[in-house]
Formats: sequence, structure tokens, C-alpha cells
Amino acid sequence: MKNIINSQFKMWSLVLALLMTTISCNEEYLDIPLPSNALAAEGAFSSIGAIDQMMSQLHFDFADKVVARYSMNRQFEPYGDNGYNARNLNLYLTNTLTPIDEGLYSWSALYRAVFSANFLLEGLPEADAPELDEATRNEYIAAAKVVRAYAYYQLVRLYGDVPLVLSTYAKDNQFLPRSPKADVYALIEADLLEAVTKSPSTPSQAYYINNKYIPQAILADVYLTQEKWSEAEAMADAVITSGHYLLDDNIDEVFLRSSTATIMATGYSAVYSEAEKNLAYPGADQCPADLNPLFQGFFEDTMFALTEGLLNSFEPGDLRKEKWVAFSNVNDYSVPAERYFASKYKFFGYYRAFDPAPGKEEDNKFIRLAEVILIRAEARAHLNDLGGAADDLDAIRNRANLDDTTASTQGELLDAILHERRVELFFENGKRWYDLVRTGTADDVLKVLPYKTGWTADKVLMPIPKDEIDKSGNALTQNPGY
Amino acid sequence: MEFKLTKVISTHRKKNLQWLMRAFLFLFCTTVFSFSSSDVFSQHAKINIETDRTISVDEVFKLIKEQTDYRFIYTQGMFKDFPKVELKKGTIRANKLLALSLSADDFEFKVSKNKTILIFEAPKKNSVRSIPQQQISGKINDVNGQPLPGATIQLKGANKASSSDFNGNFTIAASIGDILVISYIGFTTQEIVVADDKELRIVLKESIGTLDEVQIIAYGTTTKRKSTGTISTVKAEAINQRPVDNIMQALQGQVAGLSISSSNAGLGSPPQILIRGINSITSGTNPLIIIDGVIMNENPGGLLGGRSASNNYQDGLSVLNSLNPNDIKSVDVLKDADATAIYGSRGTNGVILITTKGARIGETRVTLNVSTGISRAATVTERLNTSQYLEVRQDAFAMGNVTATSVINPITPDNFNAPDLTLWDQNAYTDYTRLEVDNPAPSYNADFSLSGGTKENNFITSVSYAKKYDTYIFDPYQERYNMRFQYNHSSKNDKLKLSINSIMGIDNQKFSTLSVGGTTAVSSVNAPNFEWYKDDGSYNYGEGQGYISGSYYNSLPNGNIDRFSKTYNTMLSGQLSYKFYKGLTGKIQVNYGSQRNSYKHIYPTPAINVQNIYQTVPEANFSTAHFQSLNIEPQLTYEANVSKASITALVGATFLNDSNKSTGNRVLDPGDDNLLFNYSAGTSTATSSSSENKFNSIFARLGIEWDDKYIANFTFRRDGSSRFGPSNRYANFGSVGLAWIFTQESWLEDSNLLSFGKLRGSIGNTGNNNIGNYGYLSLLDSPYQQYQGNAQLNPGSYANADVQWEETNKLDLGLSLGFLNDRFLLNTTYYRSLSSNLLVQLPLTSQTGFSSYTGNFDGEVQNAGVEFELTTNNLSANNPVGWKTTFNFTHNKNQLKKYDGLEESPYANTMEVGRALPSTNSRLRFLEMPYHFEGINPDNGIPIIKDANEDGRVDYYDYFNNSAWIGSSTPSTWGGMTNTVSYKGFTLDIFLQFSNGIFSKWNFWGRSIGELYNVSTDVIDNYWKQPGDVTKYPRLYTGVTGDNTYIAPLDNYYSNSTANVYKGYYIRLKNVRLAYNLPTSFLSKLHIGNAQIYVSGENLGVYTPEKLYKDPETFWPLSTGALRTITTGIQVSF
Repeated sequence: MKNIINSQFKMWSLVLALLMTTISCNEEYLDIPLPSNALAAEGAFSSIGAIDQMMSQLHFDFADKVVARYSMNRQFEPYGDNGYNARNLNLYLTNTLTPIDEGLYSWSALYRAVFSANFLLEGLPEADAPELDEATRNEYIAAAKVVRAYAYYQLVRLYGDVPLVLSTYAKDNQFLPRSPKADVYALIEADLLEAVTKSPSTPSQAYYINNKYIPQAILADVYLTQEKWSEAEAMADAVITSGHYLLDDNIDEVFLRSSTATIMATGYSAVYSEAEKNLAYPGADQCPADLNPLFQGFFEDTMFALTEGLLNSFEPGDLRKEKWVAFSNVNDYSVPAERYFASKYKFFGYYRAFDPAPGKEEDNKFIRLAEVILIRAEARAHLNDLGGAADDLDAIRNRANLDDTTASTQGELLDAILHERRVELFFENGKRWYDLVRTGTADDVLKVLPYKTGWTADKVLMPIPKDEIDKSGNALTQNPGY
Repeated sequence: MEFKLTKVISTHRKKNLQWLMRAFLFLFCTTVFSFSSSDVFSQHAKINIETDRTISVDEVFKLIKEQTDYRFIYTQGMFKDFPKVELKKGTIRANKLLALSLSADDFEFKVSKNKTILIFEAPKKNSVRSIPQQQISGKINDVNGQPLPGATIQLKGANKASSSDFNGNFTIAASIGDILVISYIGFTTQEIVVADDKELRIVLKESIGTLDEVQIIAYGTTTKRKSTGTISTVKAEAINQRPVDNIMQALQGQVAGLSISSSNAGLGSPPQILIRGINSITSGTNPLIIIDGVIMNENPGGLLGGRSASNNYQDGLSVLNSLNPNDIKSVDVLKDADATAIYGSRGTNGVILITTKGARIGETRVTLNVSTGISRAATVTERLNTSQYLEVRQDAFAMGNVTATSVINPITPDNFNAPDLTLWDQNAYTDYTRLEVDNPAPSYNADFSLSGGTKENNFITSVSYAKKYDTYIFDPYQERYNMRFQYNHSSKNDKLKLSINSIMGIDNQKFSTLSVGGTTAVSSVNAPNFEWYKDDGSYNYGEGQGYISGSYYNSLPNGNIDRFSKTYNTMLSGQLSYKFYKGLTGKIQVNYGSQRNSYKHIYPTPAINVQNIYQTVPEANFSTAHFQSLNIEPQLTYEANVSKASITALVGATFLNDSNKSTGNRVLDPGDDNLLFNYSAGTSTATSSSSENKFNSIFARLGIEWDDKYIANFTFRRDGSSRFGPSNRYANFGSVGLAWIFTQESWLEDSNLLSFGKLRGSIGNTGNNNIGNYGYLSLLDSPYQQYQGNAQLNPGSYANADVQWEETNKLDLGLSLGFLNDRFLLNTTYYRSLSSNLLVQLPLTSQTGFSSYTGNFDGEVQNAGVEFELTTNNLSANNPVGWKTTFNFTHNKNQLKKYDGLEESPYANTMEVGRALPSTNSRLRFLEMPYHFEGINPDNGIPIIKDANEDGRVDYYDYFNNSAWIGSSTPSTWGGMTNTVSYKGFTLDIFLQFSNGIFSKWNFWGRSIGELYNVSTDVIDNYWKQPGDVTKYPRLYTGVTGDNTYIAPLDNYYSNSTANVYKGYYIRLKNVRLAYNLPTSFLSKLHIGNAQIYVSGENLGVYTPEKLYKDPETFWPLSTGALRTITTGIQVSF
């Protein structure tokens, strides 16, 4: 009997001992499958499906983070002299941003776009997806370079010297200090020039970054900002003479998807997604009730309006004032000028909940032919080709039902071009603000506006967010005046 | 000769006299414990000795008999030859005196109920059975005289048992001198010596708060007397028949150290459960919840997987909703290291073990419980009637604008800016608050259970149904179907044991479209003269009138919204054990849990409300979520007694695999409402996600008890988790717990006052791994959105391969005391837990592409506090009225102890070293960091807001920022008190619960007072009217136009300021229950064993030192808070 018990005991002990040993050594037990909605970063570039989706992310980041979301539109119109906000965004209106203000999300948003581009630029050259041919690889690399270049172009214009981040490894980049503006512009030019050579020369979808005229148009602007007049003229000329773009005869059609003058737009597909709905049209969610077909009788009160200065700068008979500016009947505004709103995009919608009528689809225009023509005009004026400059200027004026320009000297022409840019490009991605800074006129123009209580000449650059300076262990430095 | 002791677990044959005497006293103590003290020889029976003298044993008995009401029966001359006893002048306990007197040889003692102690010479060995057996009969009642059918009567030391019938009567074959053990669930087990063949009358007492009650611990059981850890147990009585929709609501205020709060009063939403404060910044605060061994989803609101459109119900659903509170036998809350370390990496936030009712041995018994109730909103804000409202509005227009040059600038109301004054009927009146949130809501509950069987095979099964409506408009409800089955088998020789338990539940929730938490406008604050119907009967939205969306809202279309959630909950557990050697048992436990949820939100065309600009097209959302866990735990236990030590050892292992899957489908504008259910119609989008988590551990526990006095408990666990990178997967956890029952020491055994005393302490470490799965892996995930028709992939977060456990070191010191035969039981605990290696978001500069990543940081979070539990029987047991009080109190101090470089961290704005952590509920954080209100400026009626961050301007940065912090909304002090009074068949329970914290008292919605919406009645006569007025409320503001310098403090700043925050405590009359047990004499005619009728009221009142216009526990301005529910029911068993 005792033996039986003993042997039973030994057997059980053995079983348990074995079990325990297995348990403690069984590392494989803890291996788990990946979630169904994710891919391992490692090896992702071996799949064309994954690469395509990463490219879609890049396009989205460009639309969301470089162009629309953090509102180059809304914020920088009041920051300059075009816009006036009815209730919020006072810090922009009065130029009283401080390094702790929320509006500075532009910094992180732009660097997030830089990250997306760097991620692709690291992966694409080595990508071994069998379906990825060389032409497509080059096109994708070019698109990533355009996004990176444009994000840096925004950064360098908003903040001045900025850290040059060229890789995705966070620990290498966390404490990078600011690089001189010249280095940043060098990178922008190199990226865009490479994009020009790697992009196809035929535009297929206007709102994709997939042809060489997009980097060329951006380069024209970049050269203009750097006062490289002949390079700017050449680049603008290349786009204008490519034969792919025509100014719309009818000013009503400029912002439609069907416009022949669109060089680049962050557009929307027929079937729009949640993400796209969040990409607000310029001013679309800021429109007063009586201008919004969706919610007659109600409005959201965070709209912003045209300043008196902009309103008065339209010449008599300018079709653009007639077609691109709307008057609100809502009697909530004490100042008459505040009752005029930009209505370049006719199809308003809080969340764009209705589909527009066929042929009336609109895309968020980012670079239009008119702008490139005005770049060439300005470059020509600086290069003393006054005739050529006036011709370009008149092409824009005539379309707006205005007579040829009366400006004749170089100085007069440059003033006329700057004015034309204001009335042509108002409420489009804050371009007026960049013009004021680029031409060195910001201080003169803004310091006389009575409501600009916080204006100083230093405000041509944004403050670096305090958070970022703190997190960098003071590797980042603050701009003067903040 | 030898003594046979009647109540010693293992009979030692030692003839050590001292030991014998102690055992004898132990007999008395425990007998006292189970009998009522009036009819037994109790500890406070004292004998007064007038002079020093020497007397015989017979005289001793005489002396005791004279001074107590005890009698002794023994054979004359039995003690003739005994030595005399020397007595000193003074007082001596009767027990002690007896011990002094009987100083030799073997006697047998029998204590009978009628204060009689039989003493006779112990029979010779093997002669016990020589006494002839006979049929002993008896009747078992509870203290109220109600018979207890189905009680178990066992003959001690023999394999013989019986059970009582419907009338509590039983018969069993036994001999004089045999011991009968009478047990019944929920009652103290009693032992009775058969003294004669007369019918026994046995009274069982309910076993609440006694020291020898079973407490469930990890992989075993203990008792309050013997535990080394800190465990609080809540028994069925405190949970059952409470009209709660979630068992956790019944635990609020019942357990020291456990804080339950619900900021979202929506029916079915999960309460926040915190055991001893917030231990972690990011890695979760939920305790581990285990039901009969099945591990619940660690995120109680984790259901509603892809709930994209359910933002009105943002907290999700509690997984405990499908559990029937009446099925619960006990809830054990494990708190300290000793109790929780064996759960290793998951034990930091404490463990809640829920045990369902087990099977009963005996005749099959049916229990039926039916109840019905009605709920109303507990707190409804009284708002202005039409004439008051119009007066306020007219005043607002008369006041008009405030500008820099003039304070009063009247505005003329017109059709556009004040349709309520110019267009709408000036006499129409609707009480929108009551219409929206205070609709009488019925509830129904029925459950049926069947239980019985033999010692070898027994079972319990129960079926229940409950439905509870909410008081919101459109009748939202919660409905539960529940089925449970438990089967137990034990082999004849008791070696093999099998237990199978299954719980299946379905939880249906029909949501109110006006449920709290959303941003959708609600109708409670509608102008009282706004009308929902136009003259032609169509819905009135006030189109084209006025300009403030949502200030007059027509809820009627919402009645067409269909939002419904269904959760299937399955829990299966099986346990097989085999005792294959003396003291050595092998066991394997397999648990499977599955919670499957499907949710739909249908927004058809008739639901479209032109006022709701966010939802202008028909839409349908469907989502499913499925959580599954499979847990396999082989175990080996060994029990042995060596000398005075009793040893329990346990080794085991855990293999746990859980997975989460969810899908979401959205159909937008399909052209026809019938196609809303077609996933491919209209614009459709789909999402999916899944994740898996594995766990692998070995654990061991060693318990040593020495002489019932010194107890030590050691635990160890080695955990591996798939949540961490391969190099950091494993970690070790352990604890030591020590206890000393000092009342077992000889120098205290004479104490008349102190009947129980235990000092205990524990130290150890536990972990926290609630960081989500895959944190160490670099993953590209799809952000659930499409751009230009394409899906996207993105490195969503910065992977940190080095991420590892967060660790918490816990220290506990406890003192448990029992006074006057444990009539008063007190348990006090001091604890301190220190979490380190914190799992946090570490900062990254945005130039890296990320703002932070998950990692460990050398910071420390401390929780320290005291817990206090008191159970008292206020009246002596022979008083016909029973009155018992249980009270618990907890004070916890939570503190961020150390965090170097906090300024650069993502927590710079919300945390500070030395201060409590902010609430884990981000909504409540707004209460902790409000604008600071400093009164109303008498000159212009504008609220004065403090420039809290001293940057020279009052703006957003004076809010939700460290400098604005006013305290923690997480309670630091809480507790509860229950008084139970019983008399004859009546029992009255009164339960009070209290807590402190910061609560919102903002009961408006919209903007400033004076705008086009209704406010509470106390605004009348309390607002600013002219310069110089010192008032409670600011000036009125029409909402039409004004200078932002004045508008911002009037609307946004004021409503989010300390003016609308209540910092303090509340005491709630949580439950009052009156029950009546119908008399047996009446029931026996109907062949009913027991019947009880009861009426119960939940949330009857709340007291706060300051008048609030809403329930202190609710955050949302228009929410009603906890519902006031009156339930009545009947429980019958036969």
C-alpha cells in the first residue's frame, strides 16, 4: 500500500515538475500575432499595397498638415491685413501670439509632414516590392521630396532658422538645433530640383503631386522669395509655356475641379471620407447663416470676414469683388466691413455633408496658374522686362474685367503686381502674409492698422513653441521679440 | 483515562494539563460565539471570592452555581478524591476557576443549551458507540423564529447527514453525547451536544461580520481571523435585492479602500473603480476583476469596439451589466501586497474576486424572487416658468450691451434676435426639464433558482430577467437575461472533486438619444414658451428665427433614432482536483470568458433635425466587439501539520490568452432608409481591429501557522507578458505577510474586554502592465480614414523596445480587535504604496515627428492612507430587537512623489510634484483646473476672473493649467454606514454613503444667463441690475452682440469657473430597505418554507453643506444623476 502511494506521489511530482519546467522556459508561448489593422514597419516596403497606402498618407499629410488643417488660411489672413475675425483668433488679429499659444500647432504639424516624407525617402530607394517599377519609384520619391520641400518652405518662412531633420530616427533628431535659413533653402531647392527631374511631364490628376510642373511652380515661388529673379522667371515660364494650363475665361469656374488653371489642389474624390470632411475649405465652416445653404436660420459664430482695407482695395468693376466676395445680411456686425465674406468656394458645408451637383465639384486650390503668371510678372519687373511684366499683369486684370495696368515704371509695376496678388489671392493659404514679409512691407503696412495692438517688426517671424524649446533641453532658441 | 474534547479540530492525546485547560477555555469561547451569551457560561461570568480559603471541587461548583446561572450535572462523589483548591481573595473568571479546580484525569464535558454542563468520566476508548442510537428530532429557526428549510445537520465524526424540511424540522439517528453540526448558508454554523432525546430547538444566527467567515483569496480561502493580508468581504445580504443595474453600484460605500464613482449617469455605463487611489499615470487604474476564476476584460468600458457614432455614450458599457446581482454570494476585495502579489503584474490596482452562490446539499429547494419598481430623476433643476423667463429676457434686453464707454446699452428685441419675445406665444408653457429627464420609469426583476443534491452530487441553477427603464424621454432601458448553472461532484472517498460553473447573460441597452455626455443640444433648457409643434401639427424647429443653434431644441425627431447595444456574456469555468496523497492535492482550473457586443446606431430620414447641423443625412453605424479570454491554471497544494505548525503550500502556473476583435461599418446616405442596413449601400466605410495578449506565470505560496497564534505567508510570482519586448518580458513579484493573534497569548486570555486581537503586516511588490498591446513593436497602422479613395498607412507611434513593467511596492500594517465576545469588531489598516519605474509618455520634440512615446520613467507615485472598518451588535443578543451597525471609512492621500523634469514632460500642465494626480477621467480634470472666480464686479456686473498664471491677461491659459489647480476630484475620503434593525419578522436596513471631492454644480447649458435658454429659478432676484449691485449672479447678456472683453468672462470663463464648482463632501441616503418575513405558522399551511416581502428605496436623498441644484456625482449640466428608485418585491422559497 505504502509503495503504491509513494509511486503515485512520485509520478505526480514528476508530472508537475515537468510542467513547471516547461512553463518557465516556454518563451514562445508569449509570441502573439500582429493586430489585423496594422503592418510591421519592418518589411513594409516589400509590398506595393503598403507603399501605395503610405503614399496616400503622404498626400493626406500634405493636404492636412501643410495646407489646410492648421490653417495657413484662417489664421494668417487676420495676422496680415486681409481678414478680420468676428469673435475668436484674437491673438492673430492683434499679433499678440506668445510662445505658449495654441495656434503654434503649425510647427508640429509641419514636422509631422516632414516625418512622413522622410519615412518614404528612407524606404523607397531600397523598396523591393516586385511591382514597383523605376518610373513609379521616381514619381513617389519626387512626391515625397515636394512634400518635404514645401513643409520646410512653410517652416523657414514662418520661423526663420529651423532644425533640418532628414531622417526618422527620433533619438537622433530630438535635440537638433536650428539650421541657418540658407541651409534650409538649399535643401528646399535641391529637393524640388530632384523632384522636377524625377516627375512625369504629363499631369494626369491635377490634385496629385505627380508631375514636374508642381515642383517647378513651387520653385518659382521659392526663388522669388529669395529674390533670385532670373531663376524665378525661368521656372514660372516653364510652367506657363508647358501648354498644359490655361486661365479660365469665366471667373466663376476658377475654383471648380474642372478649371484648366489648376496646377495643384488638395482635392476630394467623389466619395469623400471622414478625414476629408475634416479638411475644411478655406472659410467654409466660417460662413454666416444666410450664405450657407445647409443651415438656413442657424450659424456658428466663429466666422471671419474681409477687412475694410481689402474691401476697399478692389478697383471699381473688378469681377472678383462681385464674384468672390459675399455680403451677409446677418445683422450681428457692428462694422459694415465685417459683413463681407470670402466666397471663392461656392459649395459651403460644415462637414460637406451633401454632394455637389455634377460639374460643380470644387477642390481646395493650392497653386493656380494666375499666381505663377504673377510670379513671372514680378520676376520680369525686377529683371527690368517691364513690357513682359505688364503683359502678365494685364492677363490677370483683363480676366477680371479690368483695363490694362497704368503702371509704367519698375516701382509702379512692382506695387501694381503686389496689389494684384492681394486681390487675386486673398483668403488663399495666407499668401498675402508671405507677400508682406517677403517684400519687407509688413512693418509699414501693419503698424498703421489701429487694431494691431501687438505689432512689432519682430513679428514677421512666429515664436518657437515654448514646449519645443523645453523638450529640446534648450537646443532650440527663441526668435527675437518673444 | 482521557478527555474527549468537543471542539478541537485534531485530537491530541497529550495529557498536558495546561493545554487541556486552554482547550477547555477555547471550547467556552467558541461556544459562546455560536450560542447566545445569555444561556452559556460566558467569559464575563465572574466569581467573587470574599476571603482567601481552600475549598473542595464540589464547593467550587456550588460557588459557580451560586454566582452564575450555570448548573453542573455529574455523578455524586466523582470529585471526592480531588485535591482542594486554594483561592485568593478577589474576582476570578469562572473559566479560570474551573481550570484551577479540575487538575487531573480525564473527564468529558458537554455543554448543553440550557446552561447546563454535564461532566462525566470519559468512556473507555472504542466504547463511544456503546451508547445506543436513537432518532433525535429537532426544529431549526432563525432568530426571528422563521424556520430554516434545507439546513444541513451532520453528525460530527461520522459520515451521516440530514437536512431540515420545509418547516425546519429534521430527524437524525444519534446517541446521547454525540455532536450535531448544523449549518446553513449565511448563518453561523452551530454545534449541539445531544443531551437527551427531547426535541431540539435550534436557533441559527446570521453570520455577518464574524471572524470565521470564509474569505476568498487568490487560489484559496482564509478567514478574517487568520488572514495576513488586507481583504474586505461583502456578503450577499448587502448586494442582493438592491435595485442596481451593475453590481459595482451596490459596492459603493460598502468597502474600505474601494471608491466607486460614476461621472456619467447613463444607464449601463461603467462606474470608475479605484482601490486605494490612482497608482499610475498612464497604465490604467482598473482593478483586476475575476468572477469565479474568469478574468474580466480589464477595460470595463471596453465594449462598443468601433463606436464611431456613439460619442454620446463615450464611456462604453460595463462588462458587469450582464451579471445578476442576486447570484452573487460574496465579493472579496484584495488590497495589500500579501493578497495581491500572487497576481503579479496585474495586482497593483487591487483585485476584486466575485463568487457566485454555490449549491446546497439537501432536499431540492426552489427560490423565487419577484420585484418591481419605479424610478424618478433624483434631482431635477427647477427652471423658470414662462412669465419669469420672459421677464428675465426683457431685463436682458433692457440691460443690453456692456461697452467700454457705457455699461447699460438697451437693445430692442426683434423677430431675429428674440423670437421668444416677439414671435412666440407669450402664454405657452412647457416644463422641458421634466419632459426630458423626469419620466416615471418602471423596472422589473424576476429570478428563480433551484438547488439541491447530495454531498457527492449537487447543483444550483438560476434564471433571471431584469428590465430597467431610464427616466429620459423616449424610454431608454437596460434589459438583462441571465442563466447560471453550477454542478459539483465529489467522489465517495472525497479524493476527486469536480466543479463546473457556467454563467450566460445577455445585456440589452436601448440608448436614449439624449443620453448624457454628448454635445448635441438638449431640450431641458428650451425657452419655456418654445413649442415643439406648429399650428399645423408639424415639428417646429424655429427655422429662420434667431441665430443661436441649439438654444431651443426640438427633440421629437430623436425618437426615431435607434441606438441599441446587445452584449452576450459567457463565462465557463471548470475545476478538477484530486487528492492523491495525504495533504497533497493537484488541481487544474480552466476558465473561459467571452463578451460579444454588437451595437447599432440607425439615424433614418425621420430623425433628421434641421437644428442638428452635424447630422444632415441618414446614416447607420454598426459595430461589433468580441473579447475572449482563456485561462488555464494547474496547481498543486500541500497541507500538513507538524508539531504546532500547520503548513499550506501552493505552486501553480497560469497560461492566459486573451484577444479583442472589433469591426465597424458605416452606411451614409444610401438613398432609401431601408438600405441603411445594407453595408454596401450609399457611402460605406468599414473598420476593423484586433489584438492579442498572452500571459504566462508560475506562482507559489507558503503559509505557516504556529499554534494558531503566529501566521506567516509568503508569495512569489514570475510573470511573462507579450506586451513587452522580448528582452523585458519576465519579471518577479513577491510578498511577505505576518500576523500575530495576540489574544491567543496566555497573558491576554483573561481579558474580559478584548476577545480578539490581531496585529498584521505585509510588504511586497506588484506590477502594472496596462499599456495596451504591441507597444514595443514598430507598427504601421491605418488611421481608419481614406483620402481620395485610398487607405493610409502610418507609423502611428514611436516604438520603444525597452518598455517594461511599472512596479508598485506596497506596505500594510493592520490591527484587528474584537471586544465583548466579538460583539464589536474593529479593523484598522495603514497602507502605503509606492509606484516606480512609471509607465509614462516620455517627451519628444515635434521635429522627430512625434510628441511623445511610451516608456518607463524614474518617477514615483504614492498612495498612503488609513482604512477603518467597524461592525457592532449594539444590543445584546437576548434583546428581542436586533441592531447591528457596520461602518467603514477610508482616507487616502495620493501624491506624485517624484518626477524630475516634469516641466519638459507632457504632464507639465496637469501635474505637479507633491500634488495628487489629476483625475483619470479627462472630463473631470476640468473641475480640477477651473477659472478662478473672484466675485461679480459691482460696477458692470461682469464676473471677475483671476489671472491665475499671472501673465498679465485673463485667457485660456488661466484655465486647465497647473496654476489653476484647486484640488483633486478623485475622493480622498469616503465610506459608508449600514444600520440593520430587526424585530420579530421585520428587518430594516438603512445605508448611508459618503465621499468628498470636487463636483460640478453647473446646471445650465449654452452661454450666459439672459440668452435664449432657460435657467434655474434661483437666478431670479440674484442677478446684477445696475452699477453698485452686489450679487450672486452676473449681469444678463442677451447673446446678441457685445464686446469680447466682456462676453468671454460672462459665458465661457464664468461657466467654467470656481463659481460653478463644488468642493466638499456629500452624504447620500443610498438605500433603505424594509423586509417582513411572513410567519411560519401561516406559511406551513401553504407548504411554503419561507416568504419575505420587502420594499426598498435607492438614492433617497443627498446632503451637501452647500445647496446644489444637481446631483453632486454627475458632471454633465443637464444630467439627473443617480435615479431614485423604489422597489417592492417578494421572495419565496419552498
